[in-house]
Amino acid sequence: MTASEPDRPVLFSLAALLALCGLADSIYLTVTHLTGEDVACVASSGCSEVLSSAYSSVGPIPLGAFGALAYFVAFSLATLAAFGYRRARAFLPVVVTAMFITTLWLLYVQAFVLHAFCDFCLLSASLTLSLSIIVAIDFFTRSRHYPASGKMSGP
Amino acid sequence: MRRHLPITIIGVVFLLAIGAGLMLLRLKQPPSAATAPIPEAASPTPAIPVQPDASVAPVTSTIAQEAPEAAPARPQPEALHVRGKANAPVTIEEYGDFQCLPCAAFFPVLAKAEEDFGDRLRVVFRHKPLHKHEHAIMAACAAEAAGLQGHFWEMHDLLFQNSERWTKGVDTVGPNAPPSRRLDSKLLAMPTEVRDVLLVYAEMLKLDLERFKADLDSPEVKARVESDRTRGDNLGIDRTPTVYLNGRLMTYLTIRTTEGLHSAIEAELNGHPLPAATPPAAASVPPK
Repeated sequence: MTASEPDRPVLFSLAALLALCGLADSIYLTVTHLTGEDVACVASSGCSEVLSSAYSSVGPIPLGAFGALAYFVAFSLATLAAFGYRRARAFLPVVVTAMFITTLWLLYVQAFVLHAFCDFCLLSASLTLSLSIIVAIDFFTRSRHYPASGKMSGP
Repeated sequence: MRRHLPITIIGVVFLLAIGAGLMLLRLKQPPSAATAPIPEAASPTPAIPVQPDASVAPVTSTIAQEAPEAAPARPQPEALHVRGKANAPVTIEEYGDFQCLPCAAFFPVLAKAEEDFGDRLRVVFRHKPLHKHEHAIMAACAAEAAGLQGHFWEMHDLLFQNSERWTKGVDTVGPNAPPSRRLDSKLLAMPTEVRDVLLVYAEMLKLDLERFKADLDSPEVKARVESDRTRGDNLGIDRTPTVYLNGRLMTYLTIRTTEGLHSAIEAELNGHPLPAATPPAAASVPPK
């Protein structure tokens, strides 16, 4: 990390914490999918519809498993970034952008295809959105103030 | 030390995530006995007399105890809903809920197995309407009411094939309904709407509608459904579908796909049955 570019450990620690929550949510969704449990929603009414729909898995693999993997990768990168690893900091926006696009697609499916929403999916969407905001804050402020920051390497 | 700290944190989280996932998976498996039969004393016998289907043998010794004590004065719900030959080497016993979408998803999987294995497979259906599904009992009663006219399985099939429709009252809306109502139909239907749909299904099956309506509300039919539910409670079943293969509890993960169920049945036919989901034990969960 160059002397002129702040590490922002608090920002990335927050990102890691959010990714950890997403990881827990995704693991829960994966397990309920695999056991066939009928998940009850609290705030919405469509958990069963969403989680048992054709969009809830890719082949035999539940979508939650992909979510868990993505959140774990995001957590790892955010943790490394919090400790000043520049490569991780540079790669985090790529992962979070992919997660954000996937989230938008899943929200579209819930709203316009299934016409049902699931609490746990909405929680995941809000976590991904928060992650995206954090990453965007870091990315754009860094780009604006430190356009020619140092080489991408470990601390 | 600081250099290794993030890697350590990531490693710990990875192990915790895997551990938590496996533990949750284990906890979410039905905590019931691995075998379906339970002592009759643990399963309160319904007060209704029963009419076992003469064409089928009892699935288990426990079921055999459900023999009629006296000739009923009026048609009574069947003791057991069985599809398939009595001497089939494999019996699948399903505890299902007509409003449960995983059950509806399992329906075609089981239907394919019935088609592919023919006389080698026998299917038993038992009601396990979950408390959180407000229309599940009414649907179960509709199946029983249809059963009183000899059409239990036809209604069973209709309910599962159309579960997403009748739970939302779509069939009461019709193609000419205003767009706003069609949008509302994505929400859960009112009980009266569901009842209307069930009457439509009864009509489709050419049932005696007046008799169907009367039976739908009859205490005998409700008792029949409750007796299945109580039996499921005694087995510790808290989710649907819960499936027993020749009396051994299967994990839903194993049999939820056509390939998985076929493999389990093949293993049974080959004399190398899959292990039960939990070690055989007497039912230990008290009735709810």
